[in-house]
Amino acid sequence: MSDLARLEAAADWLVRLSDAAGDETVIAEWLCWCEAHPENLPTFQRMQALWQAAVPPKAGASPTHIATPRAGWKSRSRSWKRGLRVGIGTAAAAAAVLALIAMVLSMHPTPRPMSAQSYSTPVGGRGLTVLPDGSKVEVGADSRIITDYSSAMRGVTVDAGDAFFSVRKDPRRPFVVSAGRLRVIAVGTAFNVRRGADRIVVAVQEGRVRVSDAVGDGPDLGSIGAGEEAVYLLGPRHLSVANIKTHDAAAWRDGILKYEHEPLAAVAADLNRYSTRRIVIADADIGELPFTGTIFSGRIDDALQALGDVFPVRVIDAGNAIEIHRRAADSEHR
Amino acid sequence: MARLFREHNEALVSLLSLRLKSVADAKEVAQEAYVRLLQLDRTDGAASLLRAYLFRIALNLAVDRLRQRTVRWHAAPAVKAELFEALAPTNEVERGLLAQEEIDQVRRVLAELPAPCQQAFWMHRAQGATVSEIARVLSVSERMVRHHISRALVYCQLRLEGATVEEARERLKR
Repeated sequence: MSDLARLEAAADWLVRLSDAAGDETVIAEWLCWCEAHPENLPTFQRMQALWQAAVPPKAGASPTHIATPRAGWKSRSRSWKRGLRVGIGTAAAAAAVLALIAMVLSMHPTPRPMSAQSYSTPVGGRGLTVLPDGSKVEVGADSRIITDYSSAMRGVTVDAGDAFFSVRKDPRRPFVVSAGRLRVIAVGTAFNVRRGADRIVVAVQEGRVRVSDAVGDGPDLGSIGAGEEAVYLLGPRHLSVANIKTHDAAAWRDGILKYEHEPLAAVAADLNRYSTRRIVIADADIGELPFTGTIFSGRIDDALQALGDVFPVRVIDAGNAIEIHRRAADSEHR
Repeated sequence: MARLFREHNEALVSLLSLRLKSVADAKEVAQEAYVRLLQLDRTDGAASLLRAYLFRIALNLAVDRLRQRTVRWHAAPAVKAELFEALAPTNEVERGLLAQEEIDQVRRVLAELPAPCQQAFWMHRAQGATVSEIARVLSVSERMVRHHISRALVYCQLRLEGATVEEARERLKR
Protein backbone atom coordinates (compact mmCIF):
# COMPACT_ATOMS: atom_id res chain seq x y z
CA MET A 1 0.00 0.00 0.00
CA SER A 2 1.45 3.35 -1.01
CA ASP A 3 1.64 6.22 1.47
CA LEU A 4 -1.09 8.05 -0.39
CA ALA A 5 -3.37 5.02 -0.41
CA ARG A 6 -2.75 4.62 3.31
CA LEU A 7 -3.60 8.27 3.93
CA GLU A 8 -6.80 7.85 1.93
CA ALA A 9 -7.74 4.71 3.80
CA ALA A 10 -7.04 6.41 7.14
CA ALA A 11 -9.20 9.40 6.18
CA ASP A 12 -11.98 7.08 5.08
CA TRP A 13 -11.90 5.22 8.39
CA LEU A 14 -12.01 8.49 10.27
CA VAL A 15 -15.17 9.53 8.44
CA ARG A 16 -16.79 6.13 8.93
CA LEU A 17 -15.93 5.98 12.63
CA SER A 18 -17.07 9.50 13.41
CA ASP A 19 -20.29 8.97 11.45
CA ALA A 20 -21.44 5.63 12.88
CA ALA A 21 -21.30 6.15 16.64
CA GLY A 22 -20.45 2.84 18.23
CA ASP A 23 -21.18 0.59 15.26
CA GLU A 24 -19.38 -2.58 16.29
CA THR A 25 -18.96 -3.97 12.78
CA VAL A 26 -17.26 -0.78 11.61
CA ILE A 27 -15.01 -0.83 14.65
CA ALA A 28 -14.09 -4.49 14.14
CA GLU A 29 -13.24 -3.83 10.49
CA TRP A 30 -11.21 -0.81 11.46
CA LEU A 31 -9.22 -2.86 13.99
CA CYS A 32 -8.46 -5.41 11.28
CA TRP A 33 -7.13 -2.61 9.13
CA CYS A 34 -5.06 -1.25 12.03
CA GLU A 35 -3.47 -4.65 12.49
CA ALA A 36 -2.82 -5.23 8.81
CA HIS A 37 0.23 -2.96 8.72
CA PRO A 38 2.35 -1.32 11.45
CA GLU A 39 2.04 2.08 9.74
CA ASN A 40 -1.76 2.03 9.57
CA LEU A 41 -2.61 3.09 13.11
CA PRO A 42 0.06 5.85 13.27
CA THR A 43 -1.29 7.21 9.97
CA PHE A 44 -4.80 7.14 11.36
CA GLN A 45 -3.60 9.01 14.44
CA ARG A 46 -2.01 11.69 12.29
CA MET A 47 -5.34 12.11 10.50
CA GLN A 48 -7.06 12.28 13.82
CA ALA A 49 -4.70 15.02 15.03
CA LEU A 50 -5.54 16.93 11.87
CA TRP A 51 -9.26 16.40 12.45
CA GLN A 52 -8.83 17.72 15.99
CA ALA A 53 -6.85 20.72 14.74
CA ALA A 54 -9.55 21.64 12.23
CA VAL A 55 -11.34 23.65 14.90
CA PRO A 56 -14.44 25.39 13.59
CA PRO A 57 -14.06 29.16 13.89
CA LYS A 58 -16.67 29.43 16.62
CA ALA A 59 -14.77 27.10 18.91
CA GLY A 60 -11.51 28.79 18.09
CA ALA A 61 -12.51 31.91 19.98
CA SER A 62 -10.15 33.04 22.69
CA PRO A 63 -11.00 32.14 26.31
CA THR A 64 -12.00 35.72 27.10
CA HIS A 65 -14.42 35.58 24.23
CA ILE A 66 -15.92 32.37 25.57
CA ALA A 67 -16.24 33.83 29.05
CA THR A 68 -18.58 36.57 27.94
CA PRO A 69 -22.15 35.48 28.55
CA ARG A 70 -23.17 36.26 25.00
CA ALA A 71 -20.49 34.09 23.43
CA GLY A 72 -21.38 31.02 21.47
CA TRP A 73 -24.24 30.38 19.23
CA LYS A 74 -26.16 33.57 19.73
CA SER A 75 -23.23 35.77 18.98
CA ARG A 76 -22.16 33.55 16.12
CA SER A 77 -24.42 35.31 13.70
CA ARG A 78 -23.27 38.64 15.03
CA SER A 79 -19.61 37.89 14.53
CA TRP A 80 -20.51 36.44 11.17
CA LYS A 81 -22.16 39.64 10.09
CA ARG A 82 -19.51 41.84 11.59
CA GLY A 83 -16.85 39.74 9.89
CA LEU A 84 -18.48 40.25 6.54
CA ARG A 85 -18.43 43.98 7.00
CA VAL A 86 -15.00 44.46 8.53
CA GLY A 87 -13.05 41.28 7.87
CA ILE A 88 -9.62 41.45 9.49
CA GLY A 89 -7.13 38.74 10.41
CA THR A 90 -8.50 35.63 12.06
CA ALA A 91 -11.92 37.21 12.25
CA ALA A 92 -11.95 37.30 8.48
CA ALA A 93 -10.92 33.67 8.18
CA ALA A 94 -13.47 32.73 10.80
CA ALA A 95 -16.11 34.81 9.10
CA ALA A 96 -15.31 33.29 5.73
CA VAL A 97 -15.89 29.80 7.04
CA LEU A 98 -19.00 30.80 8.93
CA ALA A 99 -20.32 32.58 5.88
CA LEU A 100 -19.59 29.41 3.95
CA ILE A 101 -21.46 27.29 6.44
CA ALA A 102 -24.33 29.72 6.34
CA MET A 103 -24.35 29.44 2.56
CA VAL A 104 -24.31 25.68 2.67
CA LEU A 105 -27.31 25.81 4.86
CA SER A 106 -28.83 28.45 2.66
CA MET A 107 -30.18 29.72 5.93
CA HIS A 108 -29.73 33.30 6.94
CA PRO A 109 -29.43 33.92 10.63
CA THR A 110 -30.75 37.31 11.53
CA PRO A 111 -29.67 38.86 14.82
CA ARG A 112 -32.61 39.75 16.99
CA PRO A 113 -32.85 41.52 20.30
CA MET A 114 -33.07 39.51 23.51
CA SER A 115 -32.19 35.85 23.25
CA ALA A 116 -34.10 35.13 20.07
CA GLN A 117 -32.44 34.00 16.86
CA SER A 118 -34.12 33.55 13.52
CA TYR A 119 -33.26 31.32 10.58
CA SER A 120 -34.88 31.36 7.18
CA THR A 121 -34.52 29.61 3.84
CA PRO A 122 -35.32 30.97 0.36
CA VAL A 123 -37.87 29.51 -2.07
CA GLY A 124 -36.62 26.10 -3.19
CA GLY A 125 -33.89 26.08 -0.52
CA ARG A 126 -33.40 23.99 2.55
CA GLY A 127 -31.21 24.09 5.59
CA LEU A 128 -29.75 22.10 8.42
CA THR A 129 -28.43 23.47 11.67
CA VAL A 130 -27.45 22.28 15.12
CA LEU A 131 -29.16 24.15 17.93
CA PRO A 132 -27.22 25.18 21.06
CA ASP A 133 -28.24 22.05 22.98
CA GLY A 134 -27.13 19.69 20.21
CA SER A 135 -30.63 19.10 18.84
CA LYS A 136 -30.79 19.27 15.07
CA VAL A 137 -33.28 20.96 12.83
CA GLU A 138 -33.77 20.54 9.10
CA VAL A 139 -35.72 23.39 7.60
CA GLY A 140 -37.67 23.08 4.34
CA ALA A 141 -38.07 25.53 1.48
CA ASP A 142 -39.21 29.11 2.14
CA SER A 143 -39.43 28.45 5.86
CA ARG A 144 -38.56 30.43 8.94
CA ILE A 145 -37.86 29.35 12.50
CA ILE A 146 -37.03 31.45 15.55
CA THR A 147 -35.23 29.99 18.54
CA ASP A 148 -35.59 31.27 22.07
CA TYR A 149 -33.45 29.30 24.50
CA SER A 150 -33.43 29.85 28.22
CA SER A 151 -32.08 27.77 31.09
CA ALA A 152 -35.59 26.44 31.75
CA MET A 153 -36.82 25.80 28.23
CA ARG A 154 -35.65 25.23 24.68
CA GLY A 155 -38.14 27.29 22.67
CA VAL A 156 -38.51 27.30 18.89
CA THR A 157 -41.21 28.99 16.82
CA VAL A 158 -42.04 27.69 13.36
CA ASP A 159 -43.06 30.88 11.65
CA ALA A 160 -43.54 29.45 8.17
CA GLY A 161 -42.98 26.24 6.27
CA ASP A 162 -41.51 22.92 7.40
CA ALA A 163 -39.13 22.03 10.19
CA PHE A 164 -37.97 18.56 11.15
CA PHE A 165 -36.53 18.34 14.66
CA SER A 166 -34.25 15.68 16.13
CA VAL A 167 -34.39 16.61 19.78
CA ARG A 168 -31.63 15.74 22.20
CA LYS A 169 -32.98 14.22 25.39
CA ASP A 170 -33.09 16.59 28.36
CA PRO A 171 -36.02 16.09 30.75
CA ARG A 172 -35.07 19.19 32.75
CA ARG A 173 -35.34 21.48 29.78
CA PRO A 174 -38.32 20.66 27.60
CA PHE A 175 -38.13 21.37 23.89
CA VAL A 176 -41.16 23.48 23.03
CA VAL A 177 -42.17 24.25 19.45
CA SER A 178 -44.82 26.88 18.82
CA ALA A 179 -46.58 27.04 15.48
CA GLY A 180 -49.42 29.51 15.36
CA ARG A 181 -51.96 28.44 17.90
CA LEU A 182 -50.36 25.07 18.46
CA ARG A 183 -47.68 24.15 20.97
CA VAL A 184 -45.69 20.93 20.73
CA ILE A 185 -43.69 19.77 23.73
CA ALA A 186 -40.91 17.19 23.38
CA VAL A 187 -38.25 15.79 25.61
CA GLY A 188 -36.17 13.74 23.21
CA THR A 189 -37.75 12.74 19.91
CA ALA A 190 -37.77 13.35 16.16
CA PHE A 191 -40.78 15.08 14.62
CA ASN A 192 -41.85 17.41 11.83
CA VAL A 193 -43.94 20.58 12.07
CA ARG A 194 -45.51 22.12 8.97
CA ARG A 195 -47.34 25.42 9.02
CA GLY A 196 -49.87 25.42 6.25
CA ALA A 197 -52.33 28.13 5.27
CA ASP A 198 -55.27 26.51 7.03
CA ARG A 199 -53.60 23.92 9.26
CA ILE A 200 -50.63 22.91 11.34
CA VAL A 201 -49.40 19.37 10.84
CA VAL A 202 -47.26 17.59 13.44
CA ALA A 203 -45.83 14.21 12.41
CA VAL A 204 -43.75 12.10 14.80
CA GLN A 205 -40.99 9.84 13.58
CA GLU A 206 -39.55 8.79 16.92
CA GLY A 207 -40.59 9.09 20.55
CA ARG A 208 -43.61 11.08 21.68
CA VAL A 209 -44.70 14.73 21.87
CA ARG A 210 -47.47 16.56 23.71
CA VAL A 211 -49.64 19.00 21.85
CA SER A 212 -51.49 21.91 23.40
CA ASP A 213 -53.14 25.17 22.51
CA ALA A 214 -50.52 27.91 22.53
CA VAL A 215 -52.80 30.66 23.76
CA GLY A 216 -52.39 31.40 27.44
CA ASP A 217 -52.23 28.24 29.50
CA GLY A 218 -53.88 26.54 26.56
CA PRO A 219 -55.65 23.23 27.08
CA ASP A 220 -53.73 20.03 26.54
CA LEU A 221 -54.79 18.42 23.28
CA GLY A 222 -53.19 15.05 23.91
CA SER A 223 -50.03 13.25 22.97
CA ILE A 224 -48.84 11.86 19.65
CA GLY A 225 -46.42 8.98 19.27
CA ALA A 226 -44.13 7.64 16.57
CA GLY A 227 -46.02 6.85 13.38
CA GLU A 228 -48.80 9.33 14.14
CA GLU A 229 -49.69 12.61 12.54
CA ALA A 230 -51.84 15.31 14.08
CA VAL A 231 -53.64 17.77 11.85
CA TYR A 232 -54.84 20.91 13.58
CA LEU A 233 -57.31 22.92 11.51
CA LEU A 234 -57.00 26.62 12.27
CA GLY A 235 -60.60 27.49 11.33
CA PRO A 236 -62.62 25.04 13.42
CA ARG A 237 -59.70 24.57 15.87
CA HIS A 238 -60.04 20.88 15.49
CA LEU A 239 -57.29 18.32 16.04
CA SER A 240 -57.38 14.91 14.38
CA VAL A 241 -54.78 12.18 14.63
CA ALA A 242 -54.04 9.61 11.93
CA ASN A 243 -51.50 6.82 11.47
CA ILE A 244 -48.63 7.33 9.05
CA LYS A 245 -45.46 5.47 8.17
CA THR A 246 -42.68 6.82 10.38
CA HIS A 247 -40.46 7.59 7.39
CA ASP A 248 -43.26 9.72 5.95
CA ALA A 249 -43.12 12.11 8.90
CA ALA A 250 -40.83 14.42 6.96
CA ALA A 251 -41.13 13.10 3.41
CA TRP A 252 -40.37 16.62 2.12
CA ARG A 253 -36.75 15.85 2.88
CA ASP A 254 -36.87 13.37 0.02
CA GLY A 255 -38.76 15.77 -2.23
CA ILE A 256 -42.16 14.19 -1.61
CA LEU A 257 -45.07 16.47 -0.69
CA LYS A 258 -48.25 14.81 0.55
CA TYR A 259 -51.62 16.46 0.98
CA GLU A 260 -54.85 15.10 2.30
CA HIS A 261 -58.14 16.96 1.87
CA GLU A 262 -56.28 20.23 1.81
CA PRO A 263 -57.88 23.23 0.04
CA LEU A 264 -56.29 23.82 -3.36
CA ALA A 265 -55.34 27.36 -2.31
CA ALA A 266 -53.41 26.02 0.68
CA VAL A 267 -51.70 23.41 -1.50
CA ALA A 268 -50.74 26.13 -4.01
CA ALA A 269 -49.31 28.25 -1.19
CA ASP A 270 -47.27 25.29 0.01
CA LEU A 271 -46.05 24.44 -3.51
CA ASN A 272 -44.99 28.06 -3.94
CA ARG A 273 -42.36 27.36 -1.31
CA TYR A 274 -40.66 25.12 -3.85
CA SER A 275 -41.67 26.46 -7.23
CA THR A 276 -39.56 29.07 -9.00
CA ARG A 277 -42.66 30.12 -10.97
CA ARG A 278 -45.52 31.49 -8.92
CA ILE A 279 -48.63 29.38 -8.82
CA VAL A 280 -51.68 31.60 -8.90
CA ILE A 281 -55.26 30.59 -8.22
CA ALA A 282 -57.13 32.93 -10.52
CA ASP A 283 -60.67 32.24 -9.31
CA ALA A 284 -61.14 32.28 -5.56
CA ASP A 285 -63.84 29.61 -5.43
CA ILE A 286 -61.66 26.87 -6.91
CA GLY A 287 -59.23 27.50 -4.06
CA GLU A 288 -61.74 25.70 -1.84
CA LEU A 289 -61.56 22.42 -3.77
CA PRO A 290 -60.13 19.70 -1.53
CA PHE A 291 -56.93 18.21 -2.89
CA THR A 292 -55.54 14.81 -1.94
CA GLY A 293 -52.36 13.52 -3.52
CA THR A 294 -48.61 13.30 -3.70
CA ILE A 295 -46.49 15.81 -5.58
CA PHE A 296 -42.75 15.59 -6.19
CA SER A 297 -41.17 18.94 -5.41
CA GLY A 298 -38.92 18.60 -8.44
CA ARG A 299 -41.82 18.06 -10.82
CA ILE A 300 -44.44 20.56 -9.74
CA ASP A 301 -45.22 21.73 -13.28
CA ASP A 302 -46.16 18.21 -14.40
CA ALA A 303 -48.36 17.73 -11.35
CA LEU A 304 -50.20 20.99 -12.01
CA GLN A 305 -50.76 20.13 -15.66
CA ALA A 306 -52.47 16.93 -14.52
CA LEU A 307 -54.75 18.91 -12.23
CA GLY A 308 -57.18 19.55 -15.09
CA ASP A 309 -57.94 15.83 -15.23
CA VAL A 310 -59.38 15.66 -11.73
CA PHE A 311 -60.73 19.15 -11.14
CA PRO A 312 -62.89 21.48 -13.25
CA VAL A 313 -59.90 23.74 -13.76
CA ARG A 314 -57.76 24.96 -16.61
CA VAL A 315 -54.02 25.33 -16.03
CA ILE A 316 -52.44 28.11 -18.04
CA ASP A 317 -48.73 28.52 -18.52
CA ALA A 318 -48.26 32.30 -18.29
CA GLY A 319 -44.48 32.48 -18.57
CA ASN A 320 -43.20 33.29 -15.13
CA ALA A 321 -46.43 32.20 -13.46
CA ILE A 322 -48.73 29.21 -13.64
CA GLU A 323 -52.38 30.21 -13.43
CA ILE A 324 -55.19 27.95 -12.37
CA HIS A 325 -58.58 29.09 -13.71
CA ARG A 326 -62.08 27.79 -13.30
CA ARG A 327 -63.11 25.83 -16.36
CA ALA A 328 -66.29 27.30 -17.74
CA ALA A 329 -69.11 24.74 -17.59
CA ASP A 330 -69.79 24.98 -21.31
CA SER A 331 -66.16 24.68 -22.34
CA GLU A 332 -66.35 20.95 -21.67
CA HIS A 333 -68.89 20.53 -24.44
CA ARG A 334 -67.00 22.40 -27.08
CA MET B 1 -4.55 -9.88 29.32
CA ALA B 2 -1.50 -7.71 29.48
CA ARG B 3 -0.92 -8.50 25.82
CA LEU B 4 -4.44 -7.38 25.01
CA PHE B 5 -3.68 -4.10 26.72
CA ARG B 6 -0.37 -3.65 24.92
CA GLU B 7 -1.72 -4.50 21.51
CA HIS B 8 -4.97 -2.60 21.54
CA ASN B 9 -4.51 0.24 23.95
CA GLU B 10 -3.39 2.67 21.30
CA ALA B 11 -6.23 1.88 18.94
CA LEU B 12 -8.72 2.01 21.79
CA VAL B 13 -7.50 5.39 23.03
CA SER B 14 -7.61 6.65 19.45
CA LEU B 15 -11.19 5.57 19.00
CA LEU B 16 -12.25 6.91 22.39
CA SER B 17 -10.66 10.29 21.85
CA LEU B 18 -12.53 10.57 18.58
CA ARG B 19 -15.71 9.99 20.55
CA LEU B 20 -14.85 12.03 23.66
CA LYS B 21 -12.80 14.73 21.92
CA SER B 22 -10.30 14.52 24.76
CA VAL B 23 -7.22 12.33 24.96
CA ALA B 24 -7.06 12.59 28.74
CA ASP B 25 -10.65 11.36 29.09
CA ALA B 26 -9.99 8.65 26.53
CA LYS B 27 -7.05 7.28 28.52
CA GLU B 28 -9.09 7.27 31.70
CA VAL B 29 -11.99 5.48 30.06
CA ALA B 30 -9.66 2.91 28.47
CA GLN B 31 -8.11 2.21 31.84
CA GLU B 32 -11.49 1.82 33.49
CA ALA B 33 -12.56 -0.56 30.72
CA TYR B 34 -9.59 -2.83 31.44
CA VAL B 35 -10.37 -2.85 35.13
CA ARG B 36 -13.97 -3.80 34.41
CA LEU B 37 -12.92 -6.48 31.97
CA LEU B 38 -10.61 -8.00 34.60
CA GLN B 39 -13.47 -8.04 37.10
CA LEU B 40 -15.71 -9.81 34.60
CA ASP B 41 -13.66 -12.94 35.22
CA ARG B 42 -13.81 -13.94 31.57
CA THR B 43 -10.18 -13.39 30.91
CA ASP B 44 -9.68 -16.92 29.65
CA GLY B 45 -11.71 -16.41 26.47
CA ALA B 46 -10.39 -16.22 22.93
CA ALA B 47 -8.41 -13.08 22.18
CA SER B 48 -10.85 -11.79 19.57
CA LEU B 49 -13.76 -12.22 21.97
CA LEU B 50 -11.94 -10.40 24.74
CA ARG B 51 -11.14 -7.57 22.40
CA ALA B 52 -14.78 -7.26 21.44
CA TYR B 53 -15.74 -7.14 25.14
CA LEU B 54 -13.09 -4.56 25.84
CA PHE B 55 -14.25 -2.23 23.08
CA ARG B 56 -17.91 -2.63 23.97
CA ILE B 57 -17.28 -1.82 27.63
CA ALA B 58 -15.11 1.14 26.71
CA LEU B 59 -17.67 2.60 24.30
CA ASN B 60 -20.45 2.23 26.85
CA LEU B 61 -18.30 4.01 29.40
CA ALA B 62 -17.65 6.76 26.84
CA VAL B 63 -21.39 7.22 26.32
CA ASP B 64 -21.87 7.47 30.10
CA ARG B 65 -19.12 10.00 30.35
CA LEU B 66 -20.58 12.16 27.58
CA ARG B 67 -23.91 12.08 29.38
CA GLN B 68 -22.31 13.04 32.70
CA ARG B 69 -20.63 15.92 31.01
CA THR B 70 -23.94 17.32 29.87
CA VAL B 71 -25.39 16.91 33.34
CA ARG B 72 -22.40 18.59 34.91
CA TRP B 73 -22.89 21.55 32.63
CA HIS B 74 -26.51 21.92 33.48
CA ALA B 75 -25.88 21.37 37.16
CA ALA B 76 -23.41 24.18 37.83
CA PRO B 77 -25.64 27.12 38.75
CA ALA B 78 -23.00 29.82 39.13
CA VAL B 79 -22.28 30.13 35.44
CA LYS B 80 -24.59 31.51 32.81
CA ALA B 81 -26.56 29.00 30.80
CA GLU B 82 -25.37 30.63 27.61
CA LEU B 83 -21.82 29.76 28.45
CA PHE B 84 -22.73 26.09 28.55
CA GLU B 85 -24.61 26.42 25.35
CA ALA B 86 -21.49 27.79 23.77
CA LEU B 87 -19.50 24.81 24.93
CA ALA B 88 -21.97 22.00 24.69
CA PRO B 89 -22.28 21.25 20.98
CA THR B 90 -18.62 21.07 20.07
CA ASN B 91 -17.15 20.13 23.39
CA GLU B 92 -13.58 20.80 22.40
CA VAL B 93 -12.21 20.11 25.81
CA GLU B 94 -8.60 20.33 24.79
CA ARG B 95 -8.70 23.09 22.28
CA GLY B 96 -6.56 25.20 24.61
CA LEU B 97 -3.76 22.73 23.99
CA LEU B 98 -3.80 23.29 20.26
CA ALA B 99 -1.59 26.07 19.04
CA GLN B 100 -3.56 28.86 17.43
CA GLU B 101 -1.01 28.83 14.62
CA GLU B 102 -1.75 25.22 13.83
CA ILE B 103 -5.48 25.88 13.83
CA ASP B 104 -5.08 28.86 11.50
CA GLN B 105 -2.83 26.86 9.19
CA VAL B 106 -5.35 24.03 8.90
CA ARG B 107 -8.14 26.51 8.15
CA ARG B 108 -6.06 28.21 5.48
CA VAL B 109 -5.19 24.93 3.79
CA LEU B 110 -8.80 23.76 3.88
CA ALA B 111 -9.81 27.03 2.19
CA GLU B 112 -7.78 25.97 -0.87
CA LEU B 113 -10.17 23.12 -1.59
CA PRO B 114 -13.14 23.24 -3.99
CA ALA B 115 -16.32 24.57 -2.38
CA PRO B 116 -18.31 21.29 -2.18
CA CYS B 117 -15.35 19.63 -0.49
CA GLN B 118 -15.11 22.39 2.12
CA GLN B 119 -18.85 22.42 2.66
CA ALA B 120 -19.05 18.71 3.36
CA PHE B 121 -15.99 18.83 5.59
CA TRP B 122 -17.17 21.71 7.80
CA MET B 123 -20.72 20.44 8.07
CA HIS B 124 -19.33 17.17 9.38
CA ARG B 125 -16.63 18.66 11.55
CA ALA B 126 -18.21 21.88 12.80
CA GLN B 127 -21.85 20.90 12.98
CA GLY B 128 -21.63 17.20 13.63
CA ALA B 129 -23.97 16.53 10.71
CA THR B 130 -24.01 12.88 9.67
CA VAL B 131 -23.00 11.78 6.19
CA SER B 132 -26.61 11.07 5.25
CA GLU B 133 -27.77 14.48 6.46
CA ILE B 134 -25.06 16.22 4.45
CA ALA B 135 -25.95 14.14 1.40
CA ARG B 136 -29.58 15.29 1.65
CA VAL B 137 -28.73 18.95 2.09
CA LEU B 138 -26.16 19.03 -0.70
CA SER B 139 -28.24 16.72 -2.93
CA VAL B 140 -25.36 14.34 -3.62
CA SER B 141 -24.82 10.66 -2.76
CA GLU B 142 -23.50 9.61 0.65
CA ARG B 143 -20.55 8.08 -1.16
CA MET B 144 -19.76 11.50 -2.61
CA VAL B 145 -19.95 13.13 0.82
CA ARG B 146 -17.53 10.59 2.28
CA HIS B 147 -15.25 11.14 -0.69
CA HIS B 148 -15.31 14.93 -0.19
CA ILE B 149 -14.49 14.73 3.50
CA SER B 150 -11.70 12.19 3.23
CA ARG B 151 -10.27 14.05 0.25
CA ALA B 152 -10.17 17.25 2.33
CA LEU B 153 -8.28 15.39 5.05
CA VAL B 154 -5.77 13.81 2.69
CA TYR B 155 -5.16 17.09 0.88
CA CYS B 156 -4.65 18.87 4.18
CA GLN B 157 -2.22 16.24 5.41
CA LEU B 158 -0.19 16.41 2.18
CA ARG B 159 -0.01 20.18 2.42
CA LEU B 160 1.05 20.09 6.06
CA GLU B 161 3.74 17.56 5.15
CA GLY B 162 5.20 20.23 2.88
CA ALA B 163 3.61 19.62 -0.52
CA THR B 164 2.78 22.72 -2.55
CA VAL B 165 -0.78 23.37 -3.72
CA GLU B 166 0.08 22.00 -7.19
CA GLU B 167 1.86 18.92 -5.86
CA ALA B 168 -0.97 18.05 -3.50
CA ARG B 169 -3.57 18.48 -6.26
CA GLU B 170 -1.48 16.47 -8.69
CA ARG B 171 -1.06 13.59 -6.25
CA LEU B 172 -4.77 13.50 -5.51
CA LYS B 173 -5.60 13.33 -9.20
CA ARG B 174 -4.04 9.94 -9.57
